[in-house]
Amino acid sequence: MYNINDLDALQSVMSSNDAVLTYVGAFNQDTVKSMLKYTESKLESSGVKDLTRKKIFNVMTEMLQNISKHQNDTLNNENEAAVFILGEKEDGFYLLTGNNIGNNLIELVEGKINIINGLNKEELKEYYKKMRLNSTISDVGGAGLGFIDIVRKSENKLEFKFIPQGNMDSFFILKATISND
Amino acid sequence: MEFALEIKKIMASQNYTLAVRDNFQRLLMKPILNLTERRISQEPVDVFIKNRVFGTIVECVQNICRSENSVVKKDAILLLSRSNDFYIINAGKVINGVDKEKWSEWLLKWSKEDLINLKSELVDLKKNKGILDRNLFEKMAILELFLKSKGLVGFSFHPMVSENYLFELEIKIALN
Repeated sequence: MYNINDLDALQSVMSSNDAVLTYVGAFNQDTVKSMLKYTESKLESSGVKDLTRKKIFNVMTEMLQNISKHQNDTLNNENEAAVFILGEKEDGFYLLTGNNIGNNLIELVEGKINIINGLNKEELKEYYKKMRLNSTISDVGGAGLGFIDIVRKSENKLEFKFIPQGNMDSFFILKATISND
Repeated sequence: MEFALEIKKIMASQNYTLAVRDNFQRLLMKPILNLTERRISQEPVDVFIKNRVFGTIVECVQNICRSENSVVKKDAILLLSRSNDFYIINAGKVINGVDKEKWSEWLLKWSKEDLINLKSELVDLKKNKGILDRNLFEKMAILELFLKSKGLVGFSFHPMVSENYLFELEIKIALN
């Protein structure tokens, strides 16, 4: 089989990182809906408690919406595809998205996440209200409301990384963790 | 977190769009099938081909990946990809040496036979369908996969630790 080594590698990477679902490609409404549905059933069958399930579902919805909004509209090559990963660990779940962004946006995104990660629950609530009042429709999520929502719903700080992909772009990885209640 | 990029690169390079790693227990079958069905339904491909692809996924999920008494937790994987000429479904799971001999014997034998013989073998097996025999259902699944793909079934067994093997099937469904 021509791609067997890749299959082995994929199985191995997924297994060593506890990934149970990965999707690579364009994110549209149908894809998002079917992944949410799958995850809902998976969590139910795994006996995950209601509260945890709700958190995972809400965070996943937010992250998938984010990636739908910010993915490159024209996928010209494999480097432009976005990725979503659901991981199941002993003590909880993680949700991870990855997509290419322009290097000119790194400072802005990093700044927003760092502000959000530095706030406590109450401060986050206030910050959300403030940003919501100040944002306009044309921001298309640019105010960082999505990030705030993810932190509020997951009750954990966001992890992120930018991996350079040539001179113009970087691969932006965003990870949210939901602990078992 | 760098593994996300590694996963993306592997999947994008082989046109894999979806990878599910689990034990494919009964409870999860329906959502997995829904997920893959939705994925396929979005593609601009003849409905007849789509049905064959979906039928292949059903066989893989129910009889190949399913491993309720699995050797390793969440050892099975299902992948869906599409090239210019084919849909490609990869299904794999960790098996022990005894099962390796069994699968290997069937696959080697049937990969040398023509489709007419395979079809008549399947008909014979179906006559005994009432008997609840795991081997029987697995045999029927493999034969179905050969027939749905018109013989385009590849397989391999990769040695792992503890005398287990990663058993992998690759089923290609031509787009034309």
